Amino acid sequence: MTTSTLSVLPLWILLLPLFGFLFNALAYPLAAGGTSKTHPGVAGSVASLFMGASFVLALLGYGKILGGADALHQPLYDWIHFGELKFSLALHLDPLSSMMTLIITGIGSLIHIYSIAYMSHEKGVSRFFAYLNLFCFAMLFLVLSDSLLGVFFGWEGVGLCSYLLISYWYSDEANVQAARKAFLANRVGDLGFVLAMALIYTQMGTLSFAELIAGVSGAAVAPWLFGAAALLFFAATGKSAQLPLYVWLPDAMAGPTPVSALIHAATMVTAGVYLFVRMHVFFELAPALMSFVAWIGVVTALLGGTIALVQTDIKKLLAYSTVSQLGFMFIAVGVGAYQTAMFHLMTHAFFKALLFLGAGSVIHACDGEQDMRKMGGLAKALPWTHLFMLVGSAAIAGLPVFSGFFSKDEILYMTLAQGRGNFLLFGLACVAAFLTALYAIRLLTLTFWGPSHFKGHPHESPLLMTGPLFVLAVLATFGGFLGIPHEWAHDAHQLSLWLSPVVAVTGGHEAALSEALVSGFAVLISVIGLGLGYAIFRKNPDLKVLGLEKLWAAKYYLDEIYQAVLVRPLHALGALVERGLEQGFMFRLGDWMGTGVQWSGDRLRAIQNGDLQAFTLLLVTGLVLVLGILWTWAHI
Amino acid sequence: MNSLLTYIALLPLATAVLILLLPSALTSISKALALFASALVGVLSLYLWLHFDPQHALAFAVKAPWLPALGINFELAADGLNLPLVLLTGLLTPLAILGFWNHFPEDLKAQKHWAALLLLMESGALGTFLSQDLVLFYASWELILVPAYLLIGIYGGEQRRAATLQFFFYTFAGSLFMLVGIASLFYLQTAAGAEPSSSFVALQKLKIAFDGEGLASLASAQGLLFLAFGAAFFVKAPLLPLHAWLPATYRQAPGIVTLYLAAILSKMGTYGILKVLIPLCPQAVQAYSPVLMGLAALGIVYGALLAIVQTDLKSLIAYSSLSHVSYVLLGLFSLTEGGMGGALIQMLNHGIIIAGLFFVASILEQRRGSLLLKDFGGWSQATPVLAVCFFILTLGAVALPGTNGFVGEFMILVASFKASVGATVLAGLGVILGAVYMLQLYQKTMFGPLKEGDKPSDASFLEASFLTLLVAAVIGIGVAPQSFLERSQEAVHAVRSRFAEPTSAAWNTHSDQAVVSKGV
Repeated sequence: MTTSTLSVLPLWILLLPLFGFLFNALAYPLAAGGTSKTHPGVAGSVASLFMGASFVLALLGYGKILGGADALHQPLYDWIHFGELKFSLALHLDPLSSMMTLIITGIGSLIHIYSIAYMSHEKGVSRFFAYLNLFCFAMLFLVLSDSLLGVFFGWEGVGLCSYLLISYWYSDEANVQAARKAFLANRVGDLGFVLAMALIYTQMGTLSFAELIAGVSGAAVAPWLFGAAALLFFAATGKSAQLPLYVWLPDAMAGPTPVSALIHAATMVTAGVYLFVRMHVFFELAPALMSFVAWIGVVTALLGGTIALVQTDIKKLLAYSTVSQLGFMFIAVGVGAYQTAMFHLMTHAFFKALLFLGAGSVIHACDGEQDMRKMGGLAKALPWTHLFMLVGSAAIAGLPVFSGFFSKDEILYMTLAQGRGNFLLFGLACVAAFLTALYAIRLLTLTFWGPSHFKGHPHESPLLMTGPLFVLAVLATFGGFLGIPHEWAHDAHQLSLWLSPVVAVTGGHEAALSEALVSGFAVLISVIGLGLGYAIFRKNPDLKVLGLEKLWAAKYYLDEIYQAVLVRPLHALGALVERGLEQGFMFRLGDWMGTGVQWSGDRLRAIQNGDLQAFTLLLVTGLVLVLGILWTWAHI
Repeated sequence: MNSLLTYIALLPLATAVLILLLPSALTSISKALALFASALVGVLSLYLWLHFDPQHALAFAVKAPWLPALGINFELAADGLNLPLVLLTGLLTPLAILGFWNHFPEDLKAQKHWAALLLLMESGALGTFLSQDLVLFYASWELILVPAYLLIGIYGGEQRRAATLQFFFYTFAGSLFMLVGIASLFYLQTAAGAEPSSSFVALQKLKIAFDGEGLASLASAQGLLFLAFGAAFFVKAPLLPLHAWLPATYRQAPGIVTLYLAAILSKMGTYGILKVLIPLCPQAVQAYSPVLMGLAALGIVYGALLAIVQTDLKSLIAYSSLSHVSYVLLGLFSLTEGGMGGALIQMLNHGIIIAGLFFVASILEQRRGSLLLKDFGGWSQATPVLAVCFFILTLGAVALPGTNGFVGEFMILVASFKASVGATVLAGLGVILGAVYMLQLYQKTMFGPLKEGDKPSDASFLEASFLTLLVAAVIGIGVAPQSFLERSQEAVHAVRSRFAEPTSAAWNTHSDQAVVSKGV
């Protein structure tokens, strides 16, 4: 963040989705005479137009940085300026936020367009598009802000929109519960964020990234730094669905499928990764924590991967896959390979959005059915969707050429190449990669191949849906070429080159194994996983692995554990305080005092039973009289 | 406009008298009269807010001798501390009357009582906030008690008798202590050989001894004064464990009275701490700050825990209010500039949010004839306007960034972190618990399926207008709080500067202090 150019461009990238929100939330429903009378075509087109325009501006911003500007900066205003507290908001478009804005507005636009068709059967859909636009506004605020506080504004804003969209069909109790769970799990993390800000501000007197990074540069490792970093990591485990707070994400699938693609796969859930990359200079001062982050990442990746293996709901499978892939990103962050984390964030956004929207197309075709056991043999009826899902699966499994191949291999390689990595981490990450291939093939086998179990007449989705799928398929196929390993070509890794002003390129040359060797090994794992998976799942959708499948189906009993150690004790404590302290003691305190002066109450009640008007008049007259007498007395 | 503040403070009182004197043929206009008078006060308070110059310590001052022998004056002035609260009271009163227009009792005589008593409360609140004289402050403070007592006792819910008793004893006992405190201040002045005066400016010049270790310091002059004024203010706010009157009172009072109690009267307590207690007893407050912060933080969690297990709307909101007011107290007792500023704006913001929440509860109760959460569900589909406004108020209550609730809470948490990490972390739990009970409240009423046979009607035009204005304030202050904060900066700084003065021992001789202790 050296020299930055003053520019309103970031502001407009941000404002356009907000205008879209205002249109669909206020203007259009008012004009149409109620949300229920709004037309999905109009609401969706306008929302998509605003997103598309925002994407064009994001491209312009990208061009400006490409053209030599270090960053585009736009101060907003002094939010709070009081005593020792000084908080200002400003927007900052640098290579890192530029990459994020492109992903958000680009994939966001595609998903908006897709939603026009996907939501066309719904009533009062302007509400849906309003939320979707508002989400993009908040997410853009998150990545464009130049301070922790600004990020927190966006952080909470995306959480709110996530809540609103999970409970979009609010008449169904299950959706509402899922939304609440998401909000509360995130709130637990948010407390970490707030306390981290309080701690950092107390220590450094600023929350601005530039000042923070300048302030800690060259600083020694200090306990408070570890504390602040740990608190921020805790916040990230909430938003980015890592252990121990990931439990909300699978339930969040209660929302409409485009929401799952945009919020719960491509963008919002990566906010934690973004935060780490943005503040990596700061986090580097807590090396012990970073090793821990990598371990949390790999354990989450394994957890998500195993649970995904036994899911029957197509969206839940993808949700656990997202948990697992986010785990990969945190492995990269933890070992200090920040550009690699961003690389996987990007390719994951491509292929996971593709897979989710593809799943949406399948669900759409099967009249809302989400259980994969009731599908099967859909390849014939849905040729395009099938093709796109093949691409997405190839990408996530990491077959060569496809985007996931490059980014995942790089993560595996970095677990060895970076100082904080080691062979155990590498080995476990490889197991997680193997699981990825397994569940990917399971999805394909159960849904598209094998015998058909679907009773209805599946039909291919309209162009408005397959169009965005096509674009995403292209990105999921070729997106990886932005990160061709340095070892293979000169000046190859375009992405890390692009990010280098923000994230210095690290490691990569002193590894025990060459990157080519790691890649070969990873491809081998993928192919074995795919082959083995096909052999298993072709015959039997249910997996049996030494009884472990029961543990996986029960999601490691984490929900039950939280119920037992957090939720129920909380309510029990509340009830105990209510009955014991409040009713048993506090309320009686007044009674005990009360009996002492009971007579005065009796007197007052006697007046009450009489004429209130007279009493009040008496009171006021008395007051006026007394005041008057005092006044006169004072003036004599 | 030298008499501006006199109008603001006394117009409601005068109108209340007028309403009570109305001949029976004209009873029907009492409600309109109350609206007119309070709206006028609202316009004046807005004028005051707009023309307030923060550099000017006491603006629009009015001063008339009242009891010169004792140095008691009718003295009003606007300063950075009372400005937001005068604005809140001035605007909220007419708007609440408007919003509750069709919730007033049908009986004309009852309407008349409501109108007059509400205006009496308004005058009391405005007088309390605007007073620059301790005796006038006390008189205004007490003026509230009677109308509140009558409104709850006569028009309250089924268990109003128990509630009024609790309310009366707690607040009255607190007030008596304050009276003793005021008397002893006069005594202290005489003992120090100074001219007696109850003007805040003069009282702040008084050096009051504070010494002794730990609990023993409570027996020093300042310690005793702290107890006397603290009793009144801590009950009113309330500070844990002096809150026992609150749940029943809020639950049993008629809707508009609950709104008034929670939104405005609770602020008299927190304002009193900032305006009277801290400037008069700086060393005592400083010494007890860790304990007070602890109690405040405990109050946040305590209120939240209880809100979670409530089964009816008003009790839930009542405990949420206890929790949120405790944030204000935490900020005040952190004794940092940011914390006190955060507390001040949180007073305003809590007033707005809690008014909205209790108003929503009134609407729900009126439509459904019940306050039990289990009788509600799925209203969102039938009452979209109400649902949206209620939702934004809920967001304010859970302090989502971009709402006004976040401004105060954030300032308070960041500032008090410096003063006490432990209390701040404990208070932080409120961030989570607050979301638990507020979502519970919202989802159980607005989401899910509609109960069978339940056909609620959406907010009427008047109800919706009131809600919309509150919601606009929630977002407006949340996005741009600075215009409110900048008006209070100087005044808070001045309060804070009380701590810079030399400590107790040098101020007063020990013999003086012994006399004082006995005297109190």
